[in-house]
Amino acid sequence: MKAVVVGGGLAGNSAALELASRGADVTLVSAAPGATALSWGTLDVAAASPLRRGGLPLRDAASGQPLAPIGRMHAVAATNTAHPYAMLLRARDAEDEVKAAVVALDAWLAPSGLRVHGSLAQTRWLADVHGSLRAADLAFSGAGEGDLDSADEIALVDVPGLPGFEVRSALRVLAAEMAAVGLTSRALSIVRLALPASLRDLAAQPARFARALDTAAVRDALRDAVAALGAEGRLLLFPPVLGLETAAGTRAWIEATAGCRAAELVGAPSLSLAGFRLDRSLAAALERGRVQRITGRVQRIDLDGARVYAVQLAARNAADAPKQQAEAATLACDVLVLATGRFVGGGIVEREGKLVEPLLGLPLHDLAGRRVDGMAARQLVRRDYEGEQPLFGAGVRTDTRLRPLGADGAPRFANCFAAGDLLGSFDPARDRTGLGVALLSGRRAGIEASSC
Amino acid sequence: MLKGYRGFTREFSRTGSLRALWMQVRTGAKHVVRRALGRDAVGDPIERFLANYAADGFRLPDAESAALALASEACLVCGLCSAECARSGGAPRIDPRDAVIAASRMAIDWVRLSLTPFETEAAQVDEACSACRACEAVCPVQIPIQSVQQWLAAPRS
Repeated sequence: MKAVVVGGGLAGNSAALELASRGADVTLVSAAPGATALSWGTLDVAAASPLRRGGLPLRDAASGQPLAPIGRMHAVAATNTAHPYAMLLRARDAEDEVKAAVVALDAWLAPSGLRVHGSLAQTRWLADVHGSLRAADLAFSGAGEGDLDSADEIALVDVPGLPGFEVRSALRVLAAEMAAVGLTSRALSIVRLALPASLRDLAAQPARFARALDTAAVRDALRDAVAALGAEGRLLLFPPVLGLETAAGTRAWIEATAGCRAAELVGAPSLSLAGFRLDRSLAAALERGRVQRITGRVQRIDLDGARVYAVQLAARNAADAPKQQAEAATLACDVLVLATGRFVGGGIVEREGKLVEPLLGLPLHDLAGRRVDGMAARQLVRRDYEGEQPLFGAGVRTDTRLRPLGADGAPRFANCFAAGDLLGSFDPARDRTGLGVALLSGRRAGIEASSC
Repeated sequence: MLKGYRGFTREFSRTGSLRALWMQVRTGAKHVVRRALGRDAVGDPIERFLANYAADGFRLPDAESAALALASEACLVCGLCSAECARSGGAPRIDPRDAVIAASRMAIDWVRLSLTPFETEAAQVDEACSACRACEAVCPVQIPIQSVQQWLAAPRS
């Protein structure tokens, strides 16, 4: 079976890997790394954010009991019946579905040294670079080891000259937010990494600094400075720049040198290599899974009634990277998975002032279920900084097998599936289900496509 | 009458350039005089622009500069180019992300006005950038980053 997956984020990668493991001949087409490469180190299935307006609650409103991520998933699905989780869970057991997806993801990433930490039964508290608390369900190596509840003393590590990390401000915010949720017994402090003069310029460019930490020469130069940070029972929280390829090696070296536990803070869009590492590790998994990968843009999808049969790639222009060979312009496919993302990925674009899904012209709906394709983006934005924005919930709707629906409410194509942020009716930034939807829907789309 | 010149100390407070302050003050004064004489909108606007500002180093962008500056404005500041550059072993003097941000501000020739810190470094960019275009392959919005680097590095007349 020939399968084509469009989209290079976590959803597209999960669908491609799942299809490949079931024996399909898979080609993944992506224009650029997906929004996954901009993620910040946690994998939120349904993460609570009790200190934010509009976030998911930590506890059940009726009984007052702490909710596990699975419970919050059910709560999300119950309050928003068009949420991708509602579609996924209608015909399936939530716990099995999530566990199988997390085990599969861990197996894909483990050969690159990236692991998925955490539990689906219990919420763990992590801190981000701004000092805000994150009630993360799952997190990748790096941030995943920074469980605030497990340490007696927490020390934020100041790296002089690193842009985007204000350690004093982060400490103040963290102290206030820990007090607000009752994590009061932990001692908080700042320790300063004494960079040798030769490395001071390097810290101004976080990615280059991270790569330097992967090398033996720089580790030797930093040995004394890192050893001085250690103390009995202390958890060292570094800004998220510990290694460029994978966080595992550099973090392990720091723990061994300092003699105490070390982890990264959860990143922010301006400062995070966690997403970059995740993207790299997924690319390695695709290679091992024998998924053919093409960098390019899809121009058009060929239809035959209710089936899609080929994907036409846009011609490359001469200014494009000359190292990459021109690929075949037409890819025949028996099944198609669309994981083109939302606004960053280009799954939804505004053309001549109208929102459209550019590949198949699928109908788009906002959170309230209103048709929004053909409307202008600015019509869907409200003047409310923290409030709900209809625009950010826009996307396609699917049936329980993740086949996108046409204008009549029935699946538009028999052999086309959608996954990830392209699915509407949820706002990944607001309800903190972003990568969770990508993983669960991507994997499910791959399974459904393979049995199509 | 002074509308539009309320921010005349802004570029100075940002950059500390006395030249920027002097030019803002002078331009403001000229504007007031012209308005008073009723001569502020006579003739071709481009000709007027060049007559007033060419001597100070402002110039209209050529087609290539304009295209690069426009493309650079699409930058999401995501940082993937910087990470990919480091991964493939590059070490340009201007971080790819910084280069794109700089280019998006360069429709006016800021470099010659000494208002950016790139003046001294720009000449060294080309040596350090190996032109592998790894940055361009990961850019989610397809900015021609390598052309931006070259453009920043090119000598300006």
